[in-house]
Amino acid sequence: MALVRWNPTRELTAWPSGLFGLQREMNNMFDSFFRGSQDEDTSLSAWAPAVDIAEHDDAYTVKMELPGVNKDEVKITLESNILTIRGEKKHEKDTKKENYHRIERIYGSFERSFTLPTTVKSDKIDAAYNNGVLQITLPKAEEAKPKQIEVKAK
Amino acid sequence: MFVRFNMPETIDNILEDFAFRNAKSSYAPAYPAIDIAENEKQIVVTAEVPGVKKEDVKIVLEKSVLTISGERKPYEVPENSRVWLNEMRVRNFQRSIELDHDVDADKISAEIKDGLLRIVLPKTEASQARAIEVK
Repeated sequence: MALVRWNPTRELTAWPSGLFGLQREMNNMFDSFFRGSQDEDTSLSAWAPAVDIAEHDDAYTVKMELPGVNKDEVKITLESNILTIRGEKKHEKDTKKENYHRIERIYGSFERSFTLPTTVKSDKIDAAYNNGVLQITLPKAEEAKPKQIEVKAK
Repeated sequence: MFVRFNMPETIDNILEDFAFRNAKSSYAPAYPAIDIAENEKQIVVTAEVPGVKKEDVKIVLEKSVLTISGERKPYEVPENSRVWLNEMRVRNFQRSIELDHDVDADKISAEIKDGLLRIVLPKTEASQARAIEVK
């Protein structure tokens, strides 16, 4: 049996003409348009890890929640100011033989991209994984740092 | 496949889930997300608690109800910073799970690694499934 994320609203949303019926149909339309034909469970399980992004004077920091993700399964790329983080959350091997009562955690691959507003020093990007949180620090390029302009008296 | 009808139920979060789901999106998950697995010997509860320190988590077993609660503390943002995106939820959390087996309370173990809280609850001898020999 395929592992399917437990979703308490599945029955509600599955009503053909119920409370969420229209929204559901619209979502399906968009999903099938962008993804091509995939089964329903795949579209329900698609996930995007939560992200915090902050800009500081000299750098950007990007934090991403990746609990239980092996850091070797995470790929970070920067291509003309577009930062892409992709990876996969896999099931722990030792639990495969067990009976699951409940599966709320989402497994599978993810990908998120962000356009950075200014250029960064691509060779100085630092990424660290600690306690389930990935933190990427992207130092701004010199020309992108804020400059204080001194007003001279004549 | 073997289907169980006496599934452990989370008692809390249901109302909160609904409120949050309606406010934000149809599929906003319960927090923290948990998996519950069981084999002959033990029940394993895995909760996603990224960025939560072990000293900020409390686990209580009262009769057959296991309660996980804790706090995710905000991290420091330097002055003059602009927050572009803030999706990581910083708040207190609490979830309760009703267990359908007697567990050996003295042998429960818990650890946090890579943002996963893993609680192992060994079943008592009496509640373990055993084959009955036909004489």
